[in-house]
Amino acid sequence: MSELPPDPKARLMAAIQRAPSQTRRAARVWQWLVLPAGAIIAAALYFAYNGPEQGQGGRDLWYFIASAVSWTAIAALSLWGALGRGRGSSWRSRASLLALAIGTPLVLFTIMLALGATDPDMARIHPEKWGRMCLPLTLAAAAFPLLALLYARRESDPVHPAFTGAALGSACGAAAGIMVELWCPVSTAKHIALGHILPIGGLAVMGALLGSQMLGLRRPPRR
Amino acid sequence: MRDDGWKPRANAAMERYADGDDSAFGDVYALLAPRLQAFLWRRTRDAARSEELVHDTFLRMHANRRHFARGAEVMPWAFAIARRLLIDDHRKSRPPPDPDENAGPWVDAVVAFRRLGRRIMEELERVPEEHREAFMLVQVEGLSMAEAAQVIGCTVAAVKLRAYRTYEALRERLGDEVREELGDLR
Repeated sequence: MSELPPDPKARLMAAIQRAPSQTRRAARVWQWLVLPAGAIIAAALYFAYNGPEQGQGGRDLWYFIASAVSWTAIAALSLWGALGRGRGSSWRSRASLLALAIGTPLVLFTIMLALGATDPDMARIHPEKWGRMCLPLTLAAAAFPLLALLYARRESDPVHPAFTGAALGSACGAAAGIMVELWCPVSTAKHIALGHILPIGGLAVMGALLGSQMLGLRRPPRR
Repeated sequence: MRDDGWKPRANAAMERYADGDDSAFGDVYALLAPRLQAFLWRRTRDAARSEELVHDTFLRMHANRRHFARGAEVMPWAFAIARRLLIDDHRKSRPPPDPDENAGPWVDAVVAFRRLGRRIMEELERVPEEHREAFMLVQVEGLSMAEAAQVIGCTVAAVKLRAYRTYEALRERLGDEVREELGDLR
């Protein structure tokens, strides 16, 4: 295979010298700073909305612990999936990302329904509340980590940026939902669906829309 | 193109470059530029445009080296970037120029092969874009099925199926023609 003429290479090297780029280590530090920062924001919201007092709110201790632990495990798995890469690849496959984006809220909903079914008394705690507070709280706690992760990973996915964005949205929603789950004692199916799961779906859609803009490649400016 | 010896060297060079060793860029360029140039030229049939796209592909690789995952293959990453830039470029640019029919002295064999090549390209144009793309990446660019799947963003099974269907379509439509053209040359 013949070498290209030297001119294009010289032009490219000059362009690269004019625009230094971040290395892997710098990007990794930024990405991993986002998660503790997101956790601090969620904790601040929890305390600002009187979390320690109303948290368990009539729930049995086993139910409180089981729901928090399940939610945390699913959120951790979802974050690991959305932030990780496929084997030998710089991104995950479309099917994995779709499974993460749709599967995270579905699995969480199923687990919460199953936990609720084991103790029908739990459904008697504020059955009239549909999630007017839980929905915006989830969105508020997830907004920063989602935007920060999308920014940290801008232009990282030349293949399916919308799917990656959707998986990130779902994962951030699930992570923010841990705080809301600790905060909210209501466990009716309608409340869980509207107050806790719907915002995760909304964040997945938002992640897809923002991801297609931020994670996709942009053509470099004309010289 | 099918020699795999260069791929580990390209992966190692890209690893060094992503970790901040700027001197490794020369190796990345030397190993990938001719392949990207060939890939893009085949898709655009325009030397200047393909050269611009190679330039832009390397600029994007440079700007996004932080996203190159440790242990990943550089070839699907580079081809995926080139493919995305090509799609954007197609959206806003003119159709490829026709090859100059009168360029150079022709001998029978060259004419026959060229005619055959053109017929293959014509028939390839008739198969669905996603099938053609899988076929070209595997059969022409020399990517493995898994690498092509990464570039396109689909499963390996889908790449196999698409490439196989394109191959079957070409065989069905061109089988007799190929035998006639090559038979005439004997």
